[in-house]
Amino acid sequence: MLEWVKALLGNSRVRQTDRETKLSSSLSVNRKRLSQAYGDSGDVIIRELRVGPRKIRVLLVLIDGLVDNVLIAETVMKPLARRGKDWKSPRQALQELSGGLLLNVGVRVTRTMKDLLEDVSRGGCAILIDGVDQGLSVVVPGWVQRNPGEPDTEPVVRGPKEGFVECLRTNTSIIRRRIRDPRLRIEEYQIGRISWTKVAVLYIEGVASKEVLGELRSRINKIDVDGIGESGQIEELIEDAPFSPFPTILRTERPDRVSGGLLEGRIAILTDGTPFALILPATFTMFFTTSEDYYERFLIGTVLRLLRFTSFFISLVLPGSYVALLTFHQEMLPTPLILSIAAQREGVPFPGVVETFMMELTFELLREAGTRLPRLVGSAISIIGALVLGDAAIRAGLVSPAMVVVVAFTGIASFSAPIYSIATGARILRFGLIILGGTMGLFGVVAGLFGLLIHLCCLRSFGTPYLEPLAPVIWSDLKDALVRFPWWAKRTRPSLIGVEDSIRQVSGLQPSPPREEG
Amino acid sequence: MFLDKISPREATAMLIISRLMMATVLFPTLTELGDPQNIWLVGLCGMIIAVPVILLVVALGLEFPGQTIIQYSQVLLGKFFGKIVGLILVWYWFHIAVTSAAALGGSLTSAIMVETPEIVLIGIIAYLGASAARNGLEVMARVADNALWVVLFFVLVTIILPFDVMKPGHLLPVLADGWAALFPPVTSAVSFFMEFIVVGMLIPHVDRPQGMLRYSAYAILTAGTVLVLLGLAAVMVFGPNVNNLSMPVFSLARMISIGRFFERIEFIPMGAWIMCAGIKLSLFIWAASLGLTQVLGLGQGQVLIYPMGALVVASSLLFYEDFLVLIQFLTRGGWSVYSLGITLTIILLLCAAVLLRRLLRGGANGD
Repeated sequence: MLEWVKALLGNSRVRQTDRETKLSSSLSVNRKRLSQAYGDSGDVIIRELRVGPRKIRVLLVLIDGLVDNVLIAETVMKPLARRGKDWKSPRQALQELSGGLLLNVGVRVTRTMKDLLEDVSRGGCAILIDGVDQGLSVVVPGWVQRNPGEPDTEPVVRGPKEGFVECLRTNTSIIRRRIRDPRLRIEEYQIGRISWTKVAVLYIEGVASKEVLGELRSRINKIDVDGIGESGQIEELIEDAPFSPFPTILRTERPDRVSGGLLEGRIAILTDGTPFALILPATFTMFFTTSEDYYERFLIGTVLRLLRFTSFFISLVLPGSYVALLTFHQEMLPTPLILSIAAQREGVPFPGVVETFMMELTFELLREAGTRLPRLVGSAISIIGALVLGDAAIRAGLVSPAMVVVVAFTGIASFSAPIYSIATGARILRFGLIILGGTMGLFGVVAGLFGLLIHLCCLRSFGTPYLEPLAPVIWSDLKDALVRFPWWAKRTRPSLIGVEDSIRQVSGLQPSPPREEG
Repeated sequence: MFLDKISPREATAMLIISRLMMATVLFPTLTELGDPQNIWLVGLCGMIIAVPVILLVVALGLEFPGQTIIQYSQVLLGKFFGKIVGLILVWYWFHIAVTSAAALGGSLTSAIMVETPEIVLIGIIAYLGASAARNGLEVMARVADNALWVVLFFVLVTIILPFDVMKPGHLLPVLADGWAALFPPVTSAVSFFMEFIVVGMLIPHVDRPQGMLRYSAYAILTAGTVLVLLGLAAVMVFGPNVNNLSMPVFSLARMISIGRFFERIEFIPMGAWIMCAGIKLSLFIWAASLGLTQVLGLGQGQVLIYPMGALVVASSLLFYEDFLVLIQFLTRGGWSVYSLGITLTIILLLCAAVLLRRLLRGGANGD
């Protein structure tokens, strides 16, 4: 508890001096300060009671909608009414209340206005007694929250159907249910001068790298903003390569992914108010894995993973290469194919690169519109996209059918990336490669890919090379990168990440039928 | 930037790619001096001779731990002569970068991008190479480590796939003109391996320098083997005509035709060239910049990298008017004499100095 308070005090950067002040022993002063702090807010309830024959003045402060009214009545009001009559002094009242009278485990003594306001803002009920310069707060949260359902962004066929929700405490409990060892540590920070957002850093003591942890703590402590809306904001404030199109921190809605990452020695960040958790250090290959890879039998997992890598590559280079072949290297295509394409393009009034650009832009527009459109009118987009733009554009001779095939194939390929953020990176790069292919042919595409490789080799995620285990090549880690080895063959943790405890399981787990004697 | 550490395997990857770069463009043109049938023998002899020479360079590096060849040549030969040797080496590496850039530009403009100005192609690759070098040796090494597999795959595909048009009979007769005829082409083959003297700059940055003894031999043998295979494939496909082709490997890729669909895949060697060239340029621009820094005693080395890259681009157009001039320089003995002259003199000079120093020290201890 003390640690928690320390962390809270150390990390919060609330600047207003009136909130740093200590609580006064005069209830009227405290009440005045509270009224100043909250102004005329309609949801704040400040209720004064007079308890017992000595009429000890007690003030209850809570925010309507954040607390559970039934629980307040049971855990606070009833004990006050029953035992209040025996109190002889305000000091005795405080001692009895903090000593177990309040029927709730989450009781803490507050000494400053800041602590009190924080507790109230988290669904607590603060109790102030006249004549004592300390207060009590009871945590009785009672707001409405979504049930942990299957995440929309990462559905699986086989695997848990549970996803994170917007409430931090629910999310940490989901992880605790998956990793029950007390070595699972949950460090909490408060970020945002105004939003007071709770952020939790999860790791397994003795498995996660201390260096990475130290670096993460220092980066989190540096954050000084007014509010945190989503974990993406934290991601942008702590990531290694802010200008790269590639994400260096993995985001996920799936608790099984987070717990899998923790077991490998990675660190997770959960943010209050969003179901998206962050996992770091993240490597390039992680963005092409799904949790299902690990649940399906390894051959299927491997094949699907290779398919995803291929489709990412296709989504990156296909339009650029098509433009390059069409514009510069017609001789490289097989003769029947180039004849067919040439025949299709006969009436098309635009050069290849313009045609590709137009169609890619249209596709991106359709995709963006489809994402933002209300579900009920979503079908309108498919009608416009498929019929009006696709069919009519070809009939009107604006684009060639081959072009539509290329764009459609690229689109399908880009949808197969399991983590949305890596696919969006490829979307941006694709346009760059189209320009390179249109101006310098395949040379441009290859040079672009080479530049991309250099860029990827430069990237690090919290000290771990981004392309690990591909560059630098680490043989033992290749067991879970492009392919997935069976569980019984993966004895070690990723060597650069699980440095503290590299052995994951015993060897010799490969199953086999019992040998027949004689 | 200059303090990065790399593993011996990564250093090897850079060396192999550097060697393969020129070969994928011009080998077996480089042995124009000899009979095509002897090509595998030339390659074999070339790498066998090159191994001990390069091992000498590695041994010298191990003698002076933490120092580059430029630094310890100043220790061994004195400040003045050491600096002269350093400058010669810097020039040699710079010239290799220039030659490679010219070879890449020349081959691309003559084979695929006929209408594109050479400076655009060279400029882009030199920029990419320099930007990798600017990010440090570690990044260059990782790029090479990653690219090596891609390049080897590309090259092996080019070697294996034209199997249907290969005629082993083209390999005969072997040694038609006797062993003596092998001398000029073998010298040429060895002279290209001499660029591995750059290992003298890499050793202080390798985390297990002892391993470089083994790994630099691996580098020569791997690169040599691939070259021999390439040569064999080219000769088996084109026979005696191989000497008339300016880029046999490129032509080799053109011969590939599988199932009437998988054909005309010239972009396979082209992709390999571009990657190899970028890595080679980054390695030699890095070596020349670091070398110059150490010769002149400058503190900040990384500022030299982009200017050096720009100089490489400009010089590649200035030194070689066209592709033919470059091929003639590389194949008519000019390169062999130049490269072997510089490197062998320096290696022998440094070895002699080390031996002399040991003798003198031994004498002093004996007294």
